[in-house]
Amino acid sequence: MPYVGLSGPGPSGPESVIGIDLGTTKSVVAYMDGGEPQVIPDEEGDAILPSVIGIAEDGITVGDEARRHSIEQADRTISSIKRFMGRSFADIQDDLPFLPFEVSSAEGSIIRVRVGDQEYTPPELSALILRKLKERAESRLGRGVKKAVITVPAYFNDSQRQSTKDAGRIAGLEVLRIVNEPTAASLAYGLNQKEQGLIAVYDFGGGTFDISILKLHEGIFEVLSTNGDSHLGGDDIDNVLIEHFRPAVEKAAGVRVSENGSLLQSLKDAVERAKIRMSGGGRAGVQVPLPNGDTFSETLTLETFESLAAPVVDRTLPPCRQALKDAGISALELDEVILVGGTTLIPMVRRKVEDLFGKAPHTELNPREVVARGAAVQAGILAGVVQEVLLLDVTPLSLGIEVMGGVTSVLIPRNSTIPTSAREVFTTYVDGQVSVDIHVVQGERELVEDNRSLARFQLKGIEPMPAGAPRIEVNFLIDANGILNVAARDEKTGKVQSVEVKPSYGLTDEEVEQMIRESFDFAESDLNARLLIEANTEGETVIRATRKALAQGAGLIAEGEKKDIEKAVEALEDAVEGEEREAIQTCLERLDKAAQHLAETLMDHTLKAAVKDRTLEEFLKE
Amino acid sequence: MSEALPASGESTKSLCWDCGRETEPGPFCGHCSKIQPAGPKTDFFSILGLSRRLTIDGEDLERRFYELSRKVHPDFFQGADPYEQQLSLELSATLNRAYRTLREPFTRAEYLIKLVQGSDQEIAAAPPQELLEEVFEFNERLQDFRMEQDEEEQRNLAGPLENDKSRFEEKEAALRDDLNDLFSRWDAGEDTGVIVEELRSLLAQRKYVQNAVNDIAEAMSCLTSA
Repeated sequence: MPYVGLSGPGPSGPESVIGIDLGTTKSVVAYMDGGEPQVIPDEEGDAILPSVIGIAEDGITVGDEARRHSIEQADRTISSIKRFMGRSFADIQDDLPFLPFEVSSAEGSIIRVRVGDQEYTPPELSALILRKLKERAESRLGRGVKKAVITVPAYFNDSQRQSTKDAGRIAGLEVLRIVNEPTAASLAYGLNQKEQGLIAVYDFGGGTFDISILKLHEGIFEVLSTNGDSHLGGDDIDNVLIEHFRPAVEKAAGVRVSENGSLLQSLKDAVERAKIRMSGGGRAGVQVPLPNGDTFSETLTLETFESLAAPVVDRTLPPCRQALKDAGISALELDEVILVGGTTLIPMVRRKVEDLFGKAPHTELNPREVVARGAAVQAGILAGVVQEVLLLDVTPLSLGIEVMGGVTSVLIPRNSTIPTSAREVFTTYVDGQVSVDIHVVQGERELVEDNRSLARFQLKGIEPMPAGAPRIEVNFLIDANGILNVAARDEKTGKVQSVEVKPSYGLTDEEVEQMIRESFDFAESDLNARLLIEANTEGETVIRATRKALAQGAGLIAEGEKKDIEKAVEALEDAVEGEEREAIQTCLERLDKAAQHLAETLMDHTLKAAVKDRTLEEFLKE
Repeated sequence: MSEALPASGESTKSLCWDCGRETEPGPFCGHCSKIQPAGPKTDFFSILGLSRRLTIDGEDLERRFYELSRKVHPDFFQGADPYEQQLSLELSATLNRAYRTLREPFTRAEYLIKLVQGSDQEIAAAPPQELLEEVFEFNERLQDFRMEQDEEEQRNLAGPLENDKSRFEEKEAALRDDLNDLFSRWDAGEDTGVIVEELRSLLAQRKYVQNAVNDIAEAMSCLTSA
């Protein structure tokens, strides 16, 4: 009985780079398959992985499985973690009443999610989703995947992008590029349709909103402007619906939603389902199982739904107008409008977009998958598989430094094509001063306190001189990921000046390294567990098959050979009982060798019998 | 700081960092085709292969920008060694800034002044001479509008401000025409010092007009959203 060894198909062809849409509520992975981007589904054929993480005492689950336990395990189920990436505790105050799990943060530092007695940072949790998608891709491609392109909302600031990159590293992925979601979507559209001209991409997802205006010209995708709100999405529509039903649900349940995580999760699920059903028009029922065993039941009409959701949807309109203005064009000049993100499936959203831009939007590609497809295209560009296509993106927010009086001095204006850079010379204020602090912020406001603090850089080791004498030239460079890099040198001596970075709401490099080490150990043990299960299954299958072959072919082989095979089978049986994968593999190989002759003999015999049978059959027919 | 240098773009050869042979200025070595660091004489005009003429054809500029982007963008240096990646990043950053700066006539003029004078001196906003008398009254109107608490009264004050706004916008269009004239004179080889002074004054006026238009728009936006 010949069988394939455990080693599996080896790596072939160029190294794979995958494209990942790491969404607030849903995530998708895709790759380039013969010049076409393809999404990779799970075993059930579902391409969409819910961005939900379950941290139970006996292990971690991601996706549908975590989602299934989200009601009874409300305080151990994390969803929409993307909303917390690169954020401060103060940023997420509005979300707190709607969170079934616990979050905390030390003063001015990264947010931590508390589950049981463990704490997790947003990049660590996002890494769990990324790892799941990585495994999915590895199963499909039959080889290890180490490189990825990950998308982020165009309006993500530096900290949010850096956090996403950190998450990739923790998941064991080298993040070759961070790409903006609307731009990725345009790549997926433009690639096939060979479009030219001006397009607008309206991307309304689960947790974020982006608008980008692009110019397409012979394979160049030039972003003219971008705008948005990285804290506005379908989740906010859910939240207004929750608020609408909450008083009645609490009355029926006799308990406050804020005191019962499972009830909150049930209500959340019920309004989300209703919202999705509303997309078909008409009305939808909202059923919430209550702790006392009853079910709360009410109807949501289209009218009520739209009046509740309209204020949320309307918040997307001013960023659209600003983006048009920044691109220096009017809505009439647009050739196409493309819709991206699950929230654009709501008919009212489509109506409002059509009213604003004065033309019917494109919806040919699945708005939930188009971003991942675009990420795969960018992965193809970086791998050299896709040629003739080049994306020129912009930085969404102005970058500045704090100057006297807490005022922001802009170094790089928003909508500058990236990569881009700016140089600034710094000096000392006091005689003998040996270090200079630089506070870097992002945002459009005049005062530093109204903008987002990105990091504090400290120029160290300046030679003691009279105030104003040292001249340190600092180069601020925003790379193609939209991430800031800083380098400094002494203008006179040309000597490189050391810069110490303290990210305002992210992880330091050391922390990321530590997490990579931990997750590597974790991934190792994870991978070993998976491989052991696979080896066990393989071993059992082979034992069954060999026994059957022995029964059929006993008369065809020598007694000594039969004994050898039986011994090898017994050894494998023992190995399968144990926990050592290598032992199983060795026994498998040994049995493979011992049974090879039997397998061949049996095959030969069966073949002859088949030929004979057929002849007999033919004979009988005649 | 600007990477501009006072000297005009006289071509000087440099040595390729990789093959060591002498090569013409440009993004790539003429012999081994490796990407090269921007030379000390690289400015926003030279990186786009342009001479220092101020009249620029937008389509030609775009074509040059796209063509160069296809050669130097970091996307195409993914597999290259770290030094080449760094060069591609820096060259792309300069190219992107060059395109943005030269594409817009006012920023182009401002850049030229820096290039010629070799200084980073900010151009301060100054009201146009012929509008000097009206500026005082305009400031008062804007102030009154901002301070007015009563919405009805505020609406009454909006009309004159709208007039101010269109007058400033007309002035900006006129300044754009004047700018084009100055560009032609520069390109025809007229005295550099004279043109730069005229450009400076024109840019100062434009800055004032632009600020005024923005101020009015910002004040008005409070009205429409209220």
